[in-house]
Amino acid sequence: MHLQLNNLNDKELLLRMRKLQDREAAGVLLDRYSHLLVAVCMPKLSKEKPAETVFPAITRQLFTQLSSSFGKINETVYAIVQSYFVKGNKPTAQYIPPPSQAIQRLELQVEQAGNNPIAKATLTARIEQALSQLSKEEAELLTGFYLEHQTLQDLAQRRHITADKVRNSLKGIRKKIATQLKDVAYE
Amino acid sequence: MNNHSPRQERVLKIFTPVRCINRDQLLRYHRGNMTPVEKHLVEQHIVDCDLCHDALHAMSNHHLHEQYSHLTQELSQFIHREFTPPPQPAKKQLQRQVKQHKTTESLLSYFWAIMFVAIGGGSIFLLQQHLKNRPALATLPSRTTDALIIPAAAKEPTATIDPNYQSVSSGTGKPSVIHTQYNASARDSINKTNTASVTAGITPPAALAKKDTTSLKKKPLKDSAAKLPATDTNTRMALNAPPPKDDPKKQELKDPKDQKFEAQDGENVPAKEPEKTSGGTANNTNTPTNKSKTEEPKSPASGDESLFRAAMQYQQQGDLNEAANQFKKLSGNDKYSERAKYQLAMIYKTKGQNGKARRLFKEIIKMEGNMKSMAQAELNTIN
Repeated sequence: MHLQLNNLNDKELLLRMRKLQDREAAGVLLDRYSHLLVAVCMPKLSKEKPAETVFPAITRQLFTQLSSSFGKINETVYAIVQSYFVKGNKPTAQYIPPPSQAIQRLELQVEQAGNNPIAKATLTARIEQALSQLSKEEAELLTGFYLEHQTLQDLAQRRHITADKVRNSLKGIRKKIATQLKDVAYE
Repeated sequence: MNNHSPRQERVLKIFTPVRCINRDQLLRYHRGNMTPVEKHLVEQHIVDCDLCHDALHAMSNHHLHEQYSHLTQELSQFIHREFTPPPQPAKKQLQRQVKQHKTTESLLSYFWAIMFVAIGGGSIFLLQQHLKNRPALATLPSRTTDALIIPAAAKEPTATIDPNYQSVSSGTGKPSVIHTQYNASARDSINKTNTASVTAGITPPAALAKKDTTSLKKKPLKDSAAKLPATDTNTRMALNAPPPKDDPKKQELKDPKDQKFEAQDGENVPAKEPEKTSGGTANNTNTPTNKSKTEEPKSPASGDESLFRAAMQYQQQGDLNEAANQFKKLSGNDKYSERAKYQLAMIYKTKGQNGKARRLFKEIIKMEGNMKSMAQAELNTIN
């Protein structure tokens, strides 16, 4: 059973977890993200918050949160980790911005287009139109990373900036395009 | 995902979701063990995923790699322990087994309860049946007072009385009492019963006039005893001797004397006295006509008579079944039919078989014989 659950994707596991109250599916899902959880939490571990207390607590919070929340799991995990460690320093939880609905919607459309050439062509045309409205620097950065497959390090070295800044720029550009396409769709 | 793919595919890759990096990729990314395509996919993912970006950033410190492996393993084990599905089938099987066991136990308890009730009820029923059909030996003394009132037939010859049976009276027309082996005190009760029945006018000695009973009461017992010693020879002599016709007083004196039944102590055999006729004659046995009558069936009916006496003896000894058999044999006899049926009916009555007793009493009534009134009285008693 465990092996069969490992072959399911996150959405299917979430579905089993919510509808069938399948704890085993929840375990597989949490185990799938456990290494990332450890890697994210490791620099923040301290004597006050040792690994023996942090990971079980975050895991239980995750289980509770995943049973009711929607959206990407990685974003939920990241939000819970940030919330858990910020709570220790401040009495009130820090505001965690919700994931961009526009990006999620656009990703869903691309996923649903699949092998449909008409849907693909329509989506490509809309994205090309959005790209044409970007600034020159943004269009070059986006084209260099996604279309020319340059690495973050290369792009950072050319622009004499850090890779994180390149990543943040790319993230902003994606969000800008998704929001633009969303607004066009509503118009 | 290479540069040779058409632009349309590459543009769509901007918004194509990529899965988070796995454990292996997390370590290989910093070790440089990735192909350019794989590395670009990871970077494409970390642009959008803060979790993977922070994880990769944390793993850039090589000192944490060992701790990372240890903690990852522990967390995986914890998750496996925490989120292992409960062994429901085992629990269910256990519950089923427990349920089946309980069901079996309850069924067994029901079964034994039903068996206990059935056995108890059966034993009570058998006990009741046993008490109903118990040999009348134990209860006979109290009942024989009624059962042993044997009305003698009018044709009964007084001379056929067995020498073993002695009675004080010389055989009047009254019912003779057969004294049982149980106690001598029964005699008193028997006498009382006889007296009561006579005064009530129910018994066939209904032929006895009331004045007889009154005179009987008046007559002291010792007179009779003094006049006639209880010996067989005397009895016979008294029976054979013609009664003085011209002395009604003596006749009266004899009658109450004859009505008083006594038996010698220690004698278990019943004494039989001839019964007076329904015409109410004072003493038929003393008349020559009756005498001749009683002498007539003496020789041919001796076998039946002995059979009747034996049956009476059985009855007195408590062997009611044997007595009933004897009386049944005699019930076909013309001479003893009525008495045998009456005694048989009394046996049935004693045994509680009232239906048979009732039927026999009705037959006796239909026979229109001497015992009709007694049978009628007993039938009324049963009803």
